Amino acid sequence: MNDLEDLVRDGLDRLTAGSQIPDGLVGRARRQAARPRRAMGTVAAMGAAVTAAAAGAIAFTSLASPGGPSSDNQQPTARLAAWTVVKQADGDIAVTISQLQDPAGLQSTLHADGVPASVYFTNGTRSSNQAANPACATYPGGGSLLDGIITGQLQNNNGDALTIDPSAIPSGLGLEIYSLTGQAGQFTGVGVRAVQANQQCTGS
Amino acid sequence: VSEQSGLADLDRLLAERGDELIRAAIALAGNRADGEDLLQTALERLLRSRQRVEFDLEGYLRRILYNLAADGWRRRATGERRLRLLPGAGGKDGPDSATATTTVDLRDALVRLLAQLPMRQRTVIVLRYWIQLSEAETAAMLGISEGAVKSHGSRGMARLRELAARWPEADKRQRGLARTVVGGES
Repeated sequence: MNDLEDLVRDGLDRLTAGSQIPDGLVGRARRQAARPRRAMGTVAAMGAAVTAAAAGAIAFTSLASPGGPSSDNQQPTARLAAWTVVKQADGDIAVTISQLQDPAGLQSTLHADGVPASVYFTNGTRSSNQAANPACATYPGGGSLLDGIITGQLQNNNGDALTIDPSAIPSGLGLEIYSLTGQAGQFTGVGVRAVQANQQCTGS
Repeated sequence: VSEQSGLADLDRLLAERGDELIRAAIALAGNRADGEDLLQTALERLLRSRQRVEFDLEGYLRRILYNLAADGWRRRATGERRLRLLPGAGGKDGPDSATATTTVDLRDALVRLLAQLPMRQRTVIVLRYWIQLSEAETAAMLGISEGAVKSHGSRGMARLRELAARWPEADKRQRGLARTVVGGES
């Protein structure tokens, strides 16, 4: 067994550690399985319509525990950073978030990099399809536009970094980055959605 | 075997082995949300199957799960796409030195890269090196030849090896070209 295989195994151990089968998963599978196949096609089509109407929220999941020590503020992986913004050589902006701290700093950093954004971290019980900042209105058709703005791993539903292409953001569109909470009010992740950029929402 | 007894068998299997199955699904899918969807899809496929499974229900479910992953199963269009956040340092493996931090980050980076590999390569690597099936077992599960297992596995590992060989130079190079801002330090 070589070191690389050990590292892959360790990485997958970390990814899956402590995971338990969700309570409702089997029930959902049974309900889906009980539906006639033709009906499922209709449901899928309806889902697509709802997706478009929802303006494409994107959700991060599973906030990790607070990061470990790092003495180098220049490292993108600095463990004490609540968030990290890296302006890449090609102009894309890579954002990672590990703790819900300093939303104003994150918002102003994104602004400086040409990303009109509203960062709004709360512990409320808002559902993921509601705007976090009441001053922010959903950008019509933003769901499809997000696919061109958000690049990299996010498009494959994988990875840690939200990579933004500022040049793909049309005038008037902003990104709202907000905390997601579960039914019991616990933090479950961070979402990103397309909103209408204005002074009240994104500050510009 | 009646439908009711079949459902009871499935309930028993999931009660006993559900956590292992969800972990396998997460490893194959690359993140928790997609792993849950993958396992749910596999369960739906099992429940819809008219084939009565009198032996090795877990093996049958795993075969569905692995093949869904290998065949590029697609997550439902829910309007939300999910990804993991930057992992923290919790747990016994938390970094307590620069070396440890680099190692942890390499493991995370490898898992991220693994998630970007073609589905068959990723599935073979997960089955071979994490679930620890033999080449023959992997081939039987996926319905492909052992040669194909070797090919998918070696190509995928070669990609991962490229990343590992450059580490942490790639990180240094990125820092040299890029400006990084960190916030909310505590």
